[in-house]
Amino acid sequence: MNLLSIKNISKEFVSANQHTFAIEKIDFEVKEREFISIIGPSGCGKTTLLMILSGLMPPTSGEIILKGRKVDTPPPGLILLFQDYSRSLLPWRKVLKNVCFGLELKRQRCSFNGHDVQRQAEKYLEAVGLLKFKHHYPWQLSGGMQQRVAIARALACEPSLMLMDEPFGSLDAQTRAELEDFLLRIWEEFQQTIIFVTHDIEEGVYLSDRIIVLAKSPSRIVKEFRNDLPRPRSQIETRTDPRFLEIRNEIHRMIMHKEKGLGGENDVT
Amino acid sequence: MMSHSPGQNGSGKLSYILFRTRWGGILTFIALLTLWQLGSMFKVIHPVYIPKVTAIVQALFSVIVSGELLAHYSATLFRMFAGCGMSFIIGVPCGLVIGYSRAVFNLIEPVIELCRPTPVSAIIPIVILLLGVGDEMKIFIVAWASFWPMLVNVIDGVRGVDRTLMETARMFGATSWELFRKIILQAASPHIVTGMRVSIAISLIVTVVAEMLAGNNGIGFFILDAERTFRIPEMYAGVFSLAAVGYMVNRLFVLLESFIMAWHKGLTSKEAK
Repeated sequence: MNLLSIKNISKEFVSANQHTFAIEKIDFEVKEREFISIIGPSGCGKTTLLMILSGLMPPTSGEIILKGRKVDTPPPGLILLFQDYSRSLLPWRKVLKNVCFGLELKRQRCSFNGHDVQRQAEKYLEAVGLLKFKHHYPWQLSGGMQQRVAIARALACEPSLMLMDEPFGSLDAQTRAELEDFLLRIWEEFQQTIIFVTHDIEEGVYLSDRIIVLAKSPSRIVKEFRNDLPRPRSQIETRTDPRFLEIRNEIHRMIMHKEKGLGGENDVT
Repeated sequence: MMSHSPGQNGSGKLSYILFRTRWGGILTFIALLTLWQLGSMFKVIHPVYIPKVTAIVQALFSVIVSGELLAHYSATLFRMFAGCGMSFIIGVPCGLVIGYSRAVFNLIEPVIELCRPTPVSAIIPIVILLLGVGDEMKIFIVAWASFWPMLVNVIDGVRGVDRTLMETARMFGATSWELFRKIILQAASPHIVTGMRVSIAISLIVTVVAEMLAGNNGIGFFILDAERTFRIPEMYAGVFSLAAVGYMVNRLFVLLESFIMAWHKGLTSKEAK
């Protein structure tokens, strides 16, 4: 069953006397419990796409249907994890209160309808391993920890669909690998659907069931890859699996080819 | 941050005192007072127009004991807080609305930019014409002068709220009211408090000036009156007391600030590193 249908979305930005197409006719379906990676070069409008999918920005044309309903404002059951996670945490709230934030607002809207907001928040802080930092301010934590707070805040609302915008982009390799595996665990445990945007091909392949490759300016779908690598994934076995390398190389070649093809008309790359 | 290597022979302790403690500043202060005292004693400076520090302190002590100073200060502080309070009560909500709505901002911004730099002293005759020379006039002038920095700081605070925070809240389904109460008001609070601090400092200045214009009480009147009746040490005593009051008001606010907004202090000191 399709959870989310993205139908022919385009986004055009109009400034003074210039029209720029950021997104052109993006069209795909997302099944329930699927893990989709969207891979594309930086500056290809991935963030814009996620803003549109989450109802924070209207598309110029096309529509998004979530569970049979058109998305025009942020729908319940959907959480977007911002790329700027450190700026998405409220600096005046301690960690626990930050995790409560989503629950306070989504109380009637998310699938969580218990009364004990605090206990729910603590449960997910524990899940991300930060319960003992609940009385710290976010800015007292490292980048990786801040990101985990943002993830806990999202999870506490028990969303059915999570959109993640290069969530591990600015982390060191080790923290990143840890959080990737952590994400896979909670994805399985909480039976979610995830759309994961990244510019890192290997990360995209490692996590997902399906990979959508975007080209830039305007951003459009170049190709979709089905990823049948066995689960559970492992940082060592999966990443050395010949099939993993095969998919990775194919995507890599395609992106390089695309970049070259575009090189003539766009010297900036 | 200044970093100083304490390894230089013998100067370790001195550099510690200079770089890490406030004793240096206190010493400078005492040195200046001593210079003043000696200058007056040996008539290097005019001993009548600039009396000895000890004479001034003595005068200060006697006007405190007699209750004269207290009576004047109660009038001054009343005017100051009435005027300043009015500018808070009007300035904060106005600033929030103007900062929040682009349309209101565009409508009102030229007026603000014209009123704000107009010296408050220039409008005093108008206010006297309309309100007379009583407390109404003084309080209005104080309110006017402290209103603009208050307003501008609140507007800046609201306009500076991080977009990501707003989008996060919207994504979690915040209503406009929740957005206002849980994000904007909180994120702008450091600016609001800064505005209050600037406003209070200005209102003390303006109250004293207004009291020198007319009336028969208030610390501004006391200083002017002391000069006219040739009670020179008392005149200086009034000025000294104002220095102390100004310092304490500011100090109190800084304390309040770090108490209410520990998060902001921590955040900014971390960003500074």
